[in-house]
Parts: sequence; structure tokens; C-alpha cells
Amino acid sequence: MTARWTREVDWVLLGATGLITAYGVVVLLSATHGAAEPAAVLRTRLLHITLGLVALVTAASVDYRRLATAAGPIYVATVALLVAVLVVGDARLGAQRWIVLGPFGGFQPSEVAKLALIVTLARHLDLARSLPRMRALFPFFAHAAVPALLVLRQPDMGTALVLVAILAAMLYVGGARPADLAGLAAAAAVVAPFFWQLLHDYQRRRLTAFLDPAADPLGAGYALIQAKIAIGSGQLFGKGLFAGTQNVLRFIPEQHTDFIFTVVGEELGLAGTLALLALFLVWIWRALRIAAGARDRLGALMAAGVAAMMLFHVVVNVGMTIGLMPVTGIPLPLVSYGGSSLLVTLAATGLLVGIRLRRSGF
Amino acid sequence: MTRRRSRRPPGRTPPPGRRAFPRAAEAEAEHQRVIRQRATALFILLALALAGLGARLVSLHVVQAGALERMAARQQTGEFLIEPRRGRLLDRWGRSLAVNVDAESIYAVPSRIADRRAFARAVAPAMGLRADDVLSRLVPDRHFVWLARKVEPQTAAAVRRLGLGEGIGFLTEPRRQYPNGTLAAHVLGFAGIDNQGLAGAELAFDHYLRGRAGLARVERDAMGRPRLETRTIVRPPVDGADVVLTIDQVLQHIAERELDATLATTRAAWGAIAMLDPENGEVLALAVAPRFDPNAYERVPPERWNNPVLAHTYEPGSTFKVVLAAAALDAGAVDAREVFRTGGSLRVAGGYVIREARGRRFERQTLADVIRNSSNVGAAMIATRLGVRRYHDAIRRFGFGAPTGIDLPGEASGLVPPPEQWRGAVLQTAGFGQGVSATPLQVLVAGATLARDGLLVRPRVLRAVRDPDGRAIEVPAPAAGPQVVAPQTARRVLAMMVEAVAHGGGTQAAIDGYPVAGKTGTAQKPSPAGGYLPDSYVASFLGIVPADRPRLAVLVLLDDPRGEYFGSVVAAPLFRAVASQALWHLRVAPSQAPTAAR
Repeated sequence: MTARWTREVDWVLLGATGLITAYGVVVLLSATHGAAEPAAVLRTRLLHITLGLVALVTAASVDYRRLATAAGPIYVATVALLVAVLVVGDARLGAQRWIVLGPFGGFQPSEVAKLALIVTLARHLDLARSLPRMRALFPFFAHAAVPALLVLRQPDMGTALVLVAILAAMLYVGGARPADLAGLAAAAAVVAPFFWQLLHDYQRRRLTAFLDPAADPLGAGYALIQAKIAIGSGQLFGKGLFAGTQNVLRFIPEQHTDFIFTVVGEELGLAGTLALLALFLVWIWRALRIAAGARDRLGALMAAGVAAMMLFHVVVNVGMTIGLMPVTGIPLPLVSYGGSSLLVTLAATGLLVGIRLRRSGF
Repeated sequence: MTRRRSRRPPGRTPPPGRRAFPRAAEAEAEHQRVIRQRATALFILLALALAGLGARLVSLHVVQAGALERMAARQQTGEFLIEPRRGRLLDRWGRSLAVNVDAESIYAVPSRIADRRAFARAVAPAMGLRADDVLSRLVPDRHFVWLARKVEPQTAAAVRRLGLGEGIGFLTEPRRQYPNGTLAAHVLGFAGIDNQGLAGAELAFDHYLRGRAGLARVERDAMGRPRLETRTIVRPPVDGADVVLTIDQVLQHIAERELDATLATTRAAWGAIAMLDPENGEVLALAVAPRFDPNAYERVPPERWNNPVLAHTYEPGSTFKVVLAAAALDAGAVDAREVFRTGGSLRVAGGYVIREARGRRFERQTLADVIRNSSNVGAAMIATRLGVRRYHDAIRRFGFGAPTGIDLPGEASGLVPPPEQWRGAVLQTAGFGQGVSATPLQVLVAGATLARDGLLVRPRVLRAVRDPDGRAIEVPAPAAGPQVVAPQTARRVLAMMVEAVAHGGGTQAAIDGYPVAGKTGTAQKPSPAGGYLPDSYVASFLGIVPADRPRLAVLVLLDDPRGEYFGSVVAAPLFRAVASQALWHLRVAPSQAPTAAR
């Protein structure tokens, strides 16, 4: 029994998770090198990883089908948290994203919202059985819109977009007609200009800066130019850990959070960045494989949602760092400094492991 | 856990073993197909997206790497100059005339100042500035602006006591200091706030004094702040060399003290004493009154910085008669024994009448008598005999009408009209030093040239240059001067000048024990309106001592003394006071029995 249990665990997924996390610890040490207390950063990170492992094991242990039955309370609690953070949250860097939790610092409900949306939306879609018409998609829009709009209100556009990506991927895997989805995308493109008007000036500038960073090299384009300089100057094998001058001299804002990929690029070069991307490729590949091989639709939808979340995070974060995408400010999972993100990503990993475990009758 | 799961399978999935309805099974299979198909599609999307990212990474890491690397280097490194220490100015015996002391400069960091207005109001009074002026310097977001350079220690301490934290900083910089205050101010000149020579010897020898700045490279962080711990010295600074001047601090002090005293009693507008060694042209003292303090040069109007000994031109008057005498003797135009019937006045071309000063009258005079009596009529007759061409050429040979070439800046040429412009009585008035203009230094050089047996003297203040380790640096030697008049001519004129001091107008210049050769001058000053000012004179005395073995050539000049104004009365005693002390200081042995022993 135990032998079979261990055979059914996706060790490749866990291995990729472990490698990415360890990679992240090393890079994080370099990124915070020269900070007031590097030891404190490491300690905090290891604490987060420990908590994350607990979350992973817990998520793998709890039957996802059982979890799905609690979708209603989960959804309500999540929305309540997102409302609460707007009311009592702690504002950092101009956005109200944190709920303070005493000694643990704080956590970001928007991170939890991603996982909650995956679980509750999977349940919702599973109940619907089929999606024959475009009109059938509207309830799911409403389902995702509530948390997405609350997150956008913080404002955290990046995470709101992650929620939209999760919705789109799950609708797709859930059987929505591609024509319907394309129609919706076209509709989104039509209403986008109206949303554009609602954005803050700085958000607009940030979103367009990647098209021509040199137009505002000290403003919106600054981080982009500095990130490109850092990555390019890393060349093939990088300047070596702790030797990245862009990093050490603090040319890159948010170098240990959203822009941590630049530290990889500068200090480990092309070899380092491609290796990290390869690890993410393996991770997402295993997630999609679990989706395809899940015993039921519910598990498949959940796994697809997790895969979509990870895919969106990696592509948008790395794309932003290397100037291919607008700066939306979402972290690189398992690598960026930030407890909530790490915890949620490891819990999602646990969810995947659980879905895989229950493939054949556990 | 597995047991519990299998006991109560939740959700809509049919439990294993129980067969689904065929329709439900069909739907389930359809779902599975769609899921597999679409998961594969998502995987393709993933692969494409990551391939796109990878391609971009290759482009950045490989293709654009060189350009990006250069951008990184450019923004991360800063270069700055390391200021060298400026060389000292020393007197001929190594005594300090200009040195460097550490002074504090105060700067502000506007980017760290929350309330610039309050900051300016707090800091301005302590520095003696206006709050508005301070505020205007606090350009927002700058990381460095000067507030005050090289302030007094008390000022720095007062500002420090304000406790303004990160918004303000102090830097120690070397400040030029002139420990003797006003002593030799016009020779030394001064250096500016960045230790650059601006006037006098500081300017003239700046290339020796300033040294060479070093170069340091430093990493800069994203705020542009240099990280000092990363500083590497690319090229070390080379400190400036010490410049040893020919000035003797003691002689300078003697000259200034005596000049100041005379200026006070005569109430002259200004005065000067220049003293040089005729043997080598080394200027031993160059006193000007009134002076300024080079430590605070900016507090006097810039005209005061000029060194009048080099820069001021005047009509030299009777001292010029020695030039006439040398020219006439050397040209053979006049025999030393020849007697001129001078009378009381001389009518010359254009209806001008030349008269003796103070209504005197000399009937018959030799050339020596003309010098001793300082006879204008005699000088005019001799000049007439000599003629325009020969006199003009001799004047130019003595160095008038061109800079002497002294190694100090700002020298004037004086004006010697070309021969074709010597119309009317110019030839005759030039005989007694009116109608030509010269600098005091040119007159001194002419006298020194006579003392040096007619070999033109090249005046200079640079004696030696020593690098910071004390090794001598080669300096170009002054070119030897041409022979202006024959040695015996020079000696005969010098003898006439000894007579002038012994029995003529220069008796008050006589020094016990030392034969003095000298000539007084009481020159009229040209009026801006034409002609001469009615009661304004330049009193001067040109002296050489000891006449038999010259050690000092001295020119004393007082511009517009009130009351007594004759060179013989105001300038000659000043010469005596200065020269007698100088001889004592230089340990020059008397060559005559002192009067007291007679």
C-alpha cells in the first residue's frame, strides 16, 4: 500500500518544485546581499518554505472532491477577505494588499483568491456538465468577476489578470466552444478602451512603457531599461552569484520580488535563465499531464487552473522583465520573495499531487 | 487516509465498481477527450510562450550583450579627480609665503531635505548668508550642492551644532593661506577657491604649483551616489612643486614698514619700493602701499590687485637724466669735460621755453654738473646735441617701451614715441624724463643696468622650483642681457650719480659707510585734459649701493605726496632708511670709514 502510494506521487513535479524553490533561495540571497540583515531574509524565507511544505502536504492529503463540496463557504470567505483588505488592509507601495497577522507579518488575500477561484470555479463548472452556448458562460464570468474586481480595486491589476487567465483556461478545458471564447476575447478588446480610461495615469504609463522604454528612461521605462541592461550584461554564463553589479548597486527596483529574474540573468547568464525556464516548463507540463490524466472532470479542471495560473505568472513576469510585456507587477512563483505567493504556489502543488494520487481509486 | 476516501467518495464522480448510465458514460468520455485535447493545446501554448521568452533571452544575453554591458559599465562607474596639494611659495631662504591649511566646506543634500524652506532658514544665519540665497541653491532631487566653501572653523562648528542630519555634510579641503597677511601681496598674488592661481606669482608659476590631478574610479549606485569602498585610484595625484622666490622676507618687511611710515607722513596716494640685485636681476623686495590681504582678496576692488611697479606707467622725470647721460657719453656726443652755457632757460622749437625747477639758474655746467644739479636746461641741451634718433635708440636699448620680461603677470610697456613723432619739444623734455612714460620697474632696470657695467638686467622673482620631495626642478635660465652701453660709460654715469648724492639733490639718501649712487626725480603728472597737473607730482629716487661694488638697486616712488613733494626731500630719506637696514641685514661690509670716525 505504502509502496503504491509512493509510486503514485508525481516525484517529477515535486522535484521541479524543490529545484525551483532552492534556486529561488540562492538568487534571493544574492538579491538581498548587502541589505541590512541578509540572515533575517534567509530565516524568513526558510520559515515560509516550511509553512509552504505544511500547506503542500495538507493540500495533497485533503481529497479535492471533498474540498470542492466546501466551495460555497470558500468562495464567501475569500470575498470577505478581499473586502476586508480594502477596509482594514495595510497599504504598501501605494496599494492596499496586506492583512497584518502579528508576528507573521501579513498576507495577501489576493494570492489566496487565486487558489480559491481555481477550486470553486472547478466545482461550479463540474456542476454545469456542459457549456453549449455562450450564454452558459455568463455565470462563470460573474463567479470570477467578483474577486477580480475586488483585487483590481486594491489596485492589483496583475493578480486580477491572473484571475481572468485562470477563468479563460478553465472555461477552455471545461469544454467551452472555442468560437464562444474567441467572441468573448473580441468583446473584451472592444470594451478595453473604456477600462483604459478608468486606469490611473501611472498604470497606463507602466503598461505602455515596454513598447518604448527609452521614451521615459527615468520614469516608467526605468525599470525596463535597467532590467534589460542587467540581463544582457550577464551574457552566456553570468557574472557569478553576488557579483551582479546592477543588482548590488541597486539599479533594479523590486529586484528581490517582481524583478528577481534580472538577478538570475545578470549573475548566471543565459545558462541560468534557460535552466530556470526549463524547470518551469517541466512543472507546468506535469500539471497539464495531471489535468489530462485526472480521474474526473473536477480534478482535471483544478489541475488545468493551477497550470494556467503558473503559466500566466511565468510568462507575464519573465516577459515583463525582458521587455516583452507590460509591467503588471506579479511575482515569479517560488522564486520571488513573498510569503503569500510561496504558500499559495506550494499549496497548489499539493493540490496537483492530490489529484494525481486519486487518479486510480485512492 | 485512502481508506476514508474510498469509504465515502465525494463529488459527482461515480464510485468505482458502480456502472454509470450509458449516456452519462458517453458524456464522461466526451469530457475526457476534450480535456486531453485541450490540455495538449495548452501545453503547445506553454511551449510556444516559453520558446518566445527563450528567444528573447538569447537575443539579450548574446546578441545585445555587448551594448547592454557597455550601458551597465557607463551608469555604474563614475570618475572623479583627486585634487593634488598645491605647492608652497617660499622666500629665498625657504620661509613660507603661501601654504595650505585644511578648511571645511559645507554642502547640502537637497534630496534628503524634507522641508527646504525650513532648512534654509535654519542654516543661513550660521553661515552669514540670506535664507533666500540658500534656498535658491537647494535644487530639489540633487544629491550635492555647495553651501559654503572653505569656511572658518567656528562657522563649520556652528553649522554642525544645528544637527541637520543627512541633509548637510562637511568636507575637508585644502585652503590657500598667506601666513604673513598683506606681506608681499602684490608679488604673491592669490589663488582662488579651487586653488587655481589668479594673480601674481600664484598665477605666473601656476604650472609648477598646481601639480597634476589624480583620477579615481568609483562604482555608483542607482541614485548616483559613489560607493567609496569601491574606489580605485587609476592615476595618483602629483602634488605641486614648491616655488622659491627671490624675495627676502626680511627685506620685504623692512621696505613695507618704511614705505607705510612715509606714506602716512607724506599722505601720498600710493607708493612703491622695488629692490633688486643688479648682478642677477633677482628682486629682493617689492613693496607697494596700500596693500591688500590675499587671504581675503575679494574684499578689495580688483584694481588694488594690480602690481603698480610693473603695471603703472608714469613720466619718470629727472631719474631719467641718467639714461640721457649714458646715451650721450656712449654715443660720444658729449665730452665729460665739456662745459655747457646753460643759463636760466632754453627756447626750443615750437616756441616752448625750458626752465629749471624752482627758478634756479646755472650758468656753466658739465654733464656731471647737470646730473648733480638735476638741471632741466642742461639736460635739454644735451638731448638736443644727441638728436632724436640716437637718444630714442638708447632709450629703447635700456628696455623702455617694452616689457622688461619679469616673470610676473600684468606688466605694462610704457610709451616711448617712435622717432617720427618727436615733434616740438619732445626731444628736450625727454632729456629730463617728461614726454615718455615708463613703469617703475623699467626705471629700476635702467639703474641696475648702469650698476652692472651696462649689461642689461633681466628682473625676476623665480629663484628655484623644488618638487614635493625637495629635489630641484630645472627652470629655464633667463637669457643674458645685451650690452646697452660700454662698461666705462656705465661707470662714469654711476660716478656722476655718486656726486649727485654726495653734493647734489640726493644728500638725504647718503648712508654712512657706503657710497651711494643715486638720482632724484620730481616728475609732473600729465593731465587727462592735456598738459600737466598744476600741483601733483611723482617723487622718486633711484639708488645703487654700494656704488663701488653694487649689491642693491632700489627705486623709491611716491605718487602725489601732499606738502613736501620733491624727490630729494621725501623719496631720498626713504631710500636711505630702507637701504641702510637692507645693507645691515645682508651683512654688506662698509667700504668707507663711517662719518662718526672722521
